[in-house]
Amino acid sequence: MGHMSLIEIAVALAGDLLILAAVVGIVIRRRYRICPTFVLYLGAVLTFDLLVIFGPAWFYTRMAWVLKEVFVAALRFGVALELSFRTFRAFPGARSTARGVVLLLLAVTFVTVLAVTGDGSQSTASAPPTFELIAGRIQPRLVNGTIWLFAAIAATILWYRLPVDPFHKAILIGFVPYLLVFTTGLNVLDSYGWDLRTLVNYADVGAYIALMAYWARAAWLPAAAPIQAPERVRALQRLPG
Amino acid sequence: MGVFWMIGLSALGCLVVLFLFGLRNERAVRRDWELLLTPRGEKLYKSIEGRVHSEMALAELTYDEAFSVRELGSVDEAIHLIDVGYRVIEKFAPNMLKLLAAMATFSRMVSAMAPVNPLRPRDFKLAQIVSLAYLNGLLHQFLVSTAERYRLRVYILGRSFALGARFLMESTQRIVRKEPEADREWDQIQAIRQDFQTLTTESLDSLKVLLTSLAAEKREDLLKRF
Repeated sequence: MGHMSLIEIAVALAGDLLILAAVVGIVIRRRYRICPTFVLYLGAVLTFDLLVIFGPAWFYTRMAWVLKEVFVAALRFGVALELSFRTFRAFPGARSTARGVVLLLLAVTFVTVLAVTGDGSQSTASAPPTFELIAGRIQPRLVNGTIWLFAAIAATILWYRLPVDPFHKAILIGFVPYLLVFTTGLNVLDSYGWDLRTLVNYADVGAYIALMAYWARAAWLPAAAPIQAPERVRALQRLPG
Repeated sequence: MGVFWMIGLSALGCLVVLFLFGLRNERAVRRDWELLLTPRGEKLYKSIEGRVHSEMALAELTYDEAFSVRELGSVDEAIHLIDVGYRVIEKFAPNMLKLLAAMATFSRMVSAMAPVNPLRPRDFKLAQIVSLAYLNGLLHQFLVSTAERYRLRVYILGRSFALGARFLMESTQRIVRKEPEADREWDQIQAIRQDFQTLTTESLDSLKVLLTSLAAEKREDLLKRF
């Protein structure tokens, strides 16, 4: 590593522009108050991407990527926990269920990470075994745990019919498909070898760009209008008669 | 391959949840909460209670008249009134099912539900509804939270209404077609009428429990969110 192709730089810049658009949208629509951890997450991703573009010798390395992924994975967990806290805090019944589910999933994720054997069989002279171990074994399990966490939050919201901010909804809906593509890619690399990394990279970058575009759009959407027409009330009034 | 299976199952489960979550109408959810948190909601449910009583009273009146006319010997007139009574129930039962479904949904939105008792089998005449009441009593013991017990009760009430309406339709059709052993059908209709009355009373009791639970909500805390 240590050198980026022109296409890689162009794609990385496109992703960064979309992140920037999302961050500016969040600031202008004052959405940073409802999801500060998410802003931190976007900021961290943007900063690392820019460091990779402008200092590839230092940051376009496997170890830098691993460090970034660990940091970003922690922030993703933070986003999930913050969403969970903000959504359920006013609803004691749903809150106790969500607390149980979140703790269970955190424990399961922790156990699956601990269960990694890590024989480092695919290591090469240029890459330490720890890279394959973290990228191919630990990282997919962490990402899988995050996917479960986001899906569990969505399922709890559905079950209790809780109101949710449209931007929180966009964060939840956006994360899961992208993380599924990402974790599948990492598992493909771990199972079939790192020669497939170009193909996996294309899929990952495609999903990443789509995700950032979706979030940028969601960040710029105006806030939901207050409820005025009581259609539901009228529908309920018609029920027995 | 184990990891791929795990990912596949994760993907399927998560995408189904997200699909449903994405389809959900947020404005409708917010309106439901608005209804739940304002006095308008309580007024609405109380007006529903009044209308359910009047609908049931209309059906009762028609059936009483049908049975009286039949005793006086006007069989054709009695059959006509039985048919009219069935038409009233035919409109009433789906509305009750919708109301019970709305009650089950709202019960999930209330943080603490007041306790409920299971249905009592001895209050019902129709064997199938008696069985459902027994099932309610049995499952009631296995459920832990009052909210789950409430939803079970509401579910059993809904199934009982649907069952009662089906039997009522079959008996009414046999009487209208003047099939043999019509007397047995008249007895069956009498039993279903009583069961409908009990089911309506039990449904309104469940509605009262929901209203009591709503009254205990910390509305001010929740209203700040909207």
